[in-house]
Amino acid sequence: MDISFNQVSFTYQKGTPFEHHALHNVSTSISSGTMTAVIGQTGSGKSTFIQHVNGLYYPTEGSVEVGDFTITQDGLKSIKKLRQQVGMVFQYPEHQLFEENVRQELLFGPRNFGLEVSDSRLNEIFNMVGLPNEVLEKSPFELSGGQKRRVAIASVLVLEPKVLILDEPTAGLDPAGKQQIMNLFKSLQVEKQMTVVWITHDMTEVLTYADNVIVFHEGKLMGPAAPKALFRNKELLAQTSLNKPSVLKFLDELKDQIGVSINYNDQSAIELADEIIKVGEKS
Amino acid sequence: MNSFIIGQYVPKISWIHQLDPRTKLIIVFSYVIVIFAADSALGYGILLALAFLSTYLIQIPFKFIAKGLKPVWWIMVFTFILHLIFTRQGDMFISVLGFGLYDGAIIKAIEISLRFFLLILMTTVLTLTTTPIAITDAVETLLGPFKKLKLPVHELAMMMSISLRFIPTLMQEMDKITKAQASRGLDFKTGTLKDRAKAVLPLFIPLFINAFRRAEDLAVAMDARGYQGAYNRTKFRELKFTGLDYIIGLFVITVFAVFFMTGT
Repeated sequence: MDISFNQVSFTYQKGTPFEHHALHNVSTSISSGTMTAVIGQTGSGKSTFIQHVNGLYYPTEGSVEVGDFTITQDGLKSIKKLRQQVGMVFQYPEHQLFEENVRQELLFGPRNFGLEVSDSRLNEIFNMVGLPNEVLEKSPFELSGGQKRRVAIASVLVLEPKVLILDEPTAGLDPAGKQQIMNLFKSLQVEKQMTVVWITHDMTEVLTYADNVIVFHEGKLMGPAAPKALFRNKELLAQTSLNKPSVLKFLDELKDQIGVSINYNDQSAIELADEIIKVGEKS
Repeated sequence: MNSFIIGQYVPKISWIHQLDPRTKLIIVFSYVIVIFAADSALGYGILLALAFLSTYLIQIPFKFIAKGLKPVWWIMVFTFILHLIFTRQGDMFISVLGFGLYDGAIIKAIEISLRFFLLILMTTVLTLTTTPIAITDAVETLLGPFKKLKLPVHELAMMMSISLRFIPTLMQEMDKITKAQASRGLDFKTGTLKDRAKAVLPLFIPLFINAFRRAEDLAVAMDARGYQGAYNRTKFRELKFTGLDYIIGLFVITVFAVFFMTGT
């Protein structure tokens, strides 16, 4: 589903001494079937932005279109239908688990929406997130942190959403776990044409997985841009206090200190090493 | 939930904000006692004037306070009606369906809801102008003499400040869990009473589990930093009375003294 924001502004606690403008006149569009990273410093409006997509917040001004749904300040009557199609995974989603076993936890969403889920489908989703089947009968509270995270993500995927919104899905996971989870989202995008939007602070993640990047700075939108173009834009990076991914930092250092200039085109570490060796042999 | 203001602190620079928390606590405490001693229109008039004067002085729009006390209005209306129906004092002047309406009941109903209103308004003025930490500090200092009776005053104050400290955290957490479950299709605004009661479980179970986890983390963190209770501890923020405290304190004491002497 296409997502578009038309001049959206959002104000928290309007009309009180705590009034706070979180989004200023944000207009952007996210095409169906793409993977979009949302970045920016803490408090820049990222979370407020993504929570508009499934109607957890209604815009104070402007409108949000998600597929055929239009959300304005008056809300949306068919909000439940929208939420069925837009899956949302919050930061540390393992904190929302509550059922007595993992199977019930996964069936919680489908039960709310009146959907039937077969056992084979459950197993399939379990394989997808990389959990062994015997975990299905365990209590969610006896699992490890990484397993809980996967259960929470599976509990959203079981609804088969068309749009997947994630708030720092890899925060606090080990490097292997991070990669596994991100690969899962990428494969959902490629194989099932899911539209994936995720918030992250990991610039390497952005460079590796994103088709587009949306940058937030003090509630305003800077972008969207393609990741590589963004990381070439020194002024924007400085203004929004963003870092470059480590591989680009490394190539910059290589150029500054040794004078070897190599363009980054998604090479793997080994391919880069080969290129550097080649340059070394020539000189 | 966000507009509910009981217990919320609004930073401003007003006379009342600058008062020592002990002064404010003592004033509010004696005010509450005086409310229950009040017995005449003049007495209530003075109390009302005092309450509105302090509400005016704190520089927070009254509209904001009135809106934040919305749930309290309902309780007031409820007590008013209850007293109207069930009090049997004075002369009955109307009788509807076996229920008599007495003139004493009307006075009683007004009196009780007025007392309730004053109580809430004054304590709200206190919490709007004083940080929770300042209030606990004041409680600890004021209860200081009880230490001699082996009352664990410091520990009580510590428990109080910890619970106050975690109210906003738990509210945030609740907000997040509510949204997460709403995204999974949980509906707690429509349906039968039984359905809605059931819909509360997916919110409260995670909330409680997280609260226990937090409590454990905090205990470990306190232990790790060598916390030993009141033993040999000095204060970072020393409480000090200023001229303003003496002036306002004296003013309020005079008002209350006149109040009792004239027997209003």
